[in-house]
Amino acid sequence: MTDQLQEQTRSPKTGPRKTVRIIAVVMGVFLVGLAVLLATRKPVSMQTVASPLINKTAPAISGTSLDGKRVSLASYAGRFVLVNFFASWCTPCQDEEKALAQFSNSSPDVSVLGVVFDDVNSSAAGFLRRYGANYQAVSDPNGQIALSYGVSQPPQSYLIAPNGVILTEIVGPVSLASLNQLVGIARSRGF
Amino acid sequence: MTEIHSETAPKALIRKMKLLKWLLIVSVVVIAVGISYALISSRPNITSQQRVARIESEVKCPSCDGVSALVSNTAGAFAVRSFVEKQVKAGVSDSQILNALEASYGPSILMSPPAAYGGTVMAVLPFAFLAVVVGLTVFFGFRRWRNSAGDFAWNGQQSVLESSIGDDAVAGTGVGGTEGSLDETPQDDLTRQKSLGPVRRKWLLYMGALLVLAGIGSALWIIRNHDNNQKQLAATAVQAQNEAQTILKARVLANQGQDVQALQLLSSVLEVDPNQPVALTYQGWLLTQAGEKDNNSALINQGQQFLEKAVKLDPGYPDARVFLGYVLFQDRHDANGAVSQFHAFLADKPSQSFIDATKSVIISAYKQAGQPIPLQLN
Amino acid sequence: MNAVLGQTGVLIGFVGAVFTISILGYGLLKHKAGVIRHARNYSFVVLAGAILATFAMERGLLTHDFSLAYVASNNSRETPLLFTITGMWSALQGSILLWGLVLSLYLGGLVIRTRRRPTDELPAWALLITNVVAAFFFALMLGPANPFVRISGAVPADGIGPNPLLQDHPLVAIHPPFLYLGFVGFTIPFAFALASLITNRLDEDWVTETRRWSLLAWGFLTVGIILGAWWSYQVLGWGGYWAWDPVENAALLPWLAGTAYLHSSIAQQRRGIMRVWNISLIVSAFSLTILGTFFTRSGILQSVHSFSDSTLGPFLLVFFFAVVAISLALIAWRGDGLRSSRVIAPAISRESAFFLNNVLFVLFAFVVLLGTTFPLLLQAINGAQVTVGAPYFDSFIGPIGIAILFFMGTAPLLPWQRTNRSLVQRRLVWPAVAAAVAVVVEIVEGVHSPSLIFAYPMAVFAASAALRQAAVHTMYSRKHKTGMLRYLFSRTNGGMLVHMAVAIIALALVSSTSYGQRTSLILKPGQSSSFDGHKFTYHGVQTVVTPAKTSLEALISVDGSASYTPEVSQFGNNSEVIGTPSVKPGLIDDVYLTLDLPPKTASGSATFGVVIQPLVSWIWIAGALMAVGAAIAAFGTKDISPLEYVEEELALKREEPEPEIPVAP
Repeated sequence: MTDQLQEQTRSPKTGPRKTVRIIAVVMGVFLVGLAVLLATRKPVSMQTVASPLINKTAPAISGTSLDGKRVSLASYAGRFVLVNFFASWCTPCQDEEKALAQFSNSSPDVSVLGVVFDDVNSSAAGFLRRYGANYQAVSDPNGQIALSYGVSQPPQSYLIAPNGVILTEIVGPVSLASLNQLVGIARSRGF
Repeated sequence: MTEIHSETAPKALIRKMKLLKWLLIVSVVVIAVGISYALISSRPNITSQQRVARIESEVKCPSCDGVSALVSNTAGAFAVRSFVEKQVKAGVSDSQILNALEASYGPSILMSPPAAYGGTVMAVLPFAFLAVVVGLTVFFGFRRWRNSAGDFAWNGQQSVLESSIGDDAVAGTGVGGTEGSLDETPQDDLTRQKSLGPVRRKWLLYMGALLVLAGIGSALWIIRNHDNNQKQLAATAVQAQNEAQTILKARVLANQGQDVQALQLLSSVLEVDPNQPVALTYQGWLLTQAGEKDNNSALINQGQQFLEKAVKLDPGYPDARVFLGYVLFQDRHDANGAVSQFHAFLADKPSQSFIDATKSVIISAYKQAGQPIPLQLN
Repeated sequence: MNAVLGQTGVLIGFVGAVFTISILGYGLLKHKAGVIRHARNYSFVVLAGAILATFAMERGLLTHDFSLAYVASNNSRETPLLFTITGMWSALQGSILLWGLVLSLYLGGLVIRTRRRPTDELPAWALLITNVVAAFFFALMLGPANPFVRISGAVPADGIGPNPLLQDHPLVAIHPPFLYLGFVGFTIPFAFALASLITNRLDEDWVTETRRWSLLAWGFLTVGIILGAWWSYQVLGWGGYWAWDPVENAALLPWLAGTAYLHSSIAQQRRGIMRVWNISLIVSAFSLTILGTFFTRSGILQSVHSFSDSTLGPFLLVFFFAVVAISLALIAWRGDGLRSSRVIAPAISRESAFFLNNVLFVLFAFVVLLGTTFPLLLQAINGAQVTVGAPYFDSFIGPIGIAILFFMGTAPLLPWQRTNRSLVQRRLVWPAVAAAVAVVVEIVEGVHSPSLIFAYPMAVFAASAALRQAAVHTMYSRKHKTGMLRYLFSRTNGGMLVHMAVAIIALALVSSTSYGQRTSLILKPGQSSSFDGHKFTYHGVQTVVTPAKTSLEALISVDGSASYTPEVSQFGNNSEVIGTPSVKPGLIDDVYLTLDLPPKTASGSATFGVVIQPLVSWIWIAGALMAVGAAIAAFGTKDISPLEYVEEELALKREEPEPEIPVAP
């Protein structure tokens, strides 16, 4: 009976004996693809993806400034505006604040507009005072301004051209030299 | 479960079996009817609060890794929640709300990829995978079933006996549960081994060896390109790779006229590594170009400084040479200085297309300096 | 001193492994029994090396030897004793050392387990392969992940201390070791699988031999994963325990492959079928542990576990590639011999249920792998960044899970090879009735969501089917006049216990995610508020300073009971502020409290996050049951169960009376 069974279960030459090999080869190809994909990725911490808002009209900002006045981005039309999202508790914000204060005073057609990110107004105002920053900062009680700009972590800044278009997004602290260069190059492009 | 012990009373058993059968049928009917009833009656109109929660669960908390705005306690999540609530109250549709968020954050703000970013592919792939598995099973299964039709007749007779000897669900280590029934396998293996020809086996061995060698080779290559002991060096290697990519991106952006973006990327590289010659070169070039257009001598000065620094750091980098020469000739009207830069540029064997693009300026510089025009330019 | 000691240990381990590989390899290739017998024992050198290195590391940590770079960055004088000890697996290099230690322990265990067959080539090859894996990990410790690098320059007076998230909860002490015991444990069955291919002993031996090893690894991994979920529930503060984070997925993937293997390997043991399938599954399980480690350590994926981006990525990737490529080549080489002469009949039988369940597990793993790697794929194609999170996974895993529950309930009820109608009917009745009752209850309770309508009855069905099998099996002892315990703790019942626990987890998962309630409460000291049937009273805040951290604790009582203290803490010189939730666990529901916005002044109002989720505790309870079940399945009494026999005997008597039926042993 066993013999007979073997007769029956012996597969013909073209039978499934090749199946394993074919599947192994297919898996091998898949594996090589996976390995290549993984090998060419770089760490997440080094990835930067440009904001989708660049070259688009900047989302409107209007609200109450820290000293109680009405502020809106529209009133800055015709000037370069650096919209800076900051908080007093954020360490990199402390690093950049001096540069921002200087930048806002550097040229009449350049302004900085601060937006408070997840902070108490009094602390934010104290923070600006400490660094001698005399530009306007608007409070953003429900984080709606930050949301419209796609901000995840302060500090984050957006350079807006006089015609209201976002030129670039700066994630992390800014420096005075690079801000001046950015504005210079933007001017040369006719903004 | 006393029915096991009631073998002595077959009639009672049969009655019991009948009862069980009816119970089974009734339960299955209850399950089927119940589930379909519940499915049909499921309320299609959910409350606006549920709608808000559903949308929030589709949005990532902006500052988190993979946690939705619905459950996170961060400031960003609060902002998303209040935004969604306001929009829902204002009667905005789900997709409009999600699109608005995507417009400011990009697709990564959504908890699952939108259709334009592979969402459809992701939804289809598992089904495709299942189809392939089922297809393969049916295809090969049928072939094997046909080939071994006799197997079942034989097994059929044995089945009751065999399963009666073995154990229940989980066979233990020692059990094996293979009494007698597998005797044919070793023989089977032997006969099959013979059928594998020596030639094919040799080829397989070659292929295997090749694979292993390739693996070892690439391992060695990677290890060689990788500093072993000092993490720092390795870190800079990774960083350098990253820099190169950023600079490349900046150059692409500059070509597209997005100078501001490009400049920002280059500055970010220079912030980390102020002596990066390529970044210095393109930074300098962008600045001088901007200065020329705008008649801003400060920008030209800064740009020239960047280019000079780049030339100093990497004297063999043709791009830095040609840009510096260009600045010296066009902005400083220093033909001799420019020619010496162009000379170095040509000595570095730049690509022909690069030469073609810069040829006219270089030739006029040589002419103005009264020097013979190099052969390369003709 | 510690550096020298540790470095020596690592070196001994590496040299020992290489030595074992060469001598054992020589003996195996030349078929010299004496050499094999001899060389097996060199594996203990590896173990000795690992123990020495671990000793040096722990000594360094306990004596705050900041001349070691690892100690300086993962320990400080203020770190409490427990987190000083656990510092060994707080960062990359130490984790690799833990990996090496666990693997060496398995190595030693393997030598001891197979000592009665010192010249058998199957375990000898398995030993060799395990040594190759060990050599790889020790090589990592000699090169890119050296845990004993000395700090350059002056020895600092104090260290940095572990990542705040890693010194917040004692679960950190046991979650990683269990995970590693599970991860590393799959090396042994994998090694046996490859050994069977190399020695051309493609029968059921290697499966039988590794049943216990695989159950052990699987059990540890299960516990590790559940402890991980528990840890994130207790620490991360968003009220959930599973976020489909890439690193969670990385642990889940080998678990899925391992679970599928544990089932299909029974089919191979019993029926000699699914051989290629089993080898592929165990290769997948092992290689996925390496891939998972790559995901964790290369930093290419955004994850809460990105405690350590490292330079280890390329090495792990090459190793992963080599493992899979060599295994595939071996499978292809032995492809012919691997084919079983038997096939799964196209009939309703246990093996077909196993097969279908296996397909579901593989599909499950495919979805998880796709979801984990898709962002990388898309980024490679068009540079866009996307997130693949819970909504995607839930939409697929829900239905797959329900289908798995269905087969989990039916498979143990089905006989091998072909259906015996009356038998299955009888076994199916009570589980079906239970499921029907569940449906009726659902309708009465007004459950409407489609996923819940299926999930509850299926979980009840699976649990009652397992319970029924275990109960019948145990009761049967009465007939045999043997002790009930013997039957209660049989391997079958171990498996059934795991099934019940899985069904409980399914119930708890579905309930807690579908019926969870969350809100924010803004309270002034002394104020009370009610939410979802619970009353919260805020009493005030207090500042607690310990050497390791400074915390602001809010005192809040729930339902008038003792105080719970959600807090925000700042650890040592780390400026990051970590919120720690406080949980009131309960068998019916958990109350989860976080301090979202600390009060400005002592009498100011504070914002609390409140999450109330039903049945969460049952996940942890069922996790413990799974561990117990796995242990019984591995070490329980042998199944001499004649259960099937008796039941089939009864069925036969009814259908076709046969005079002679062999008596059960």
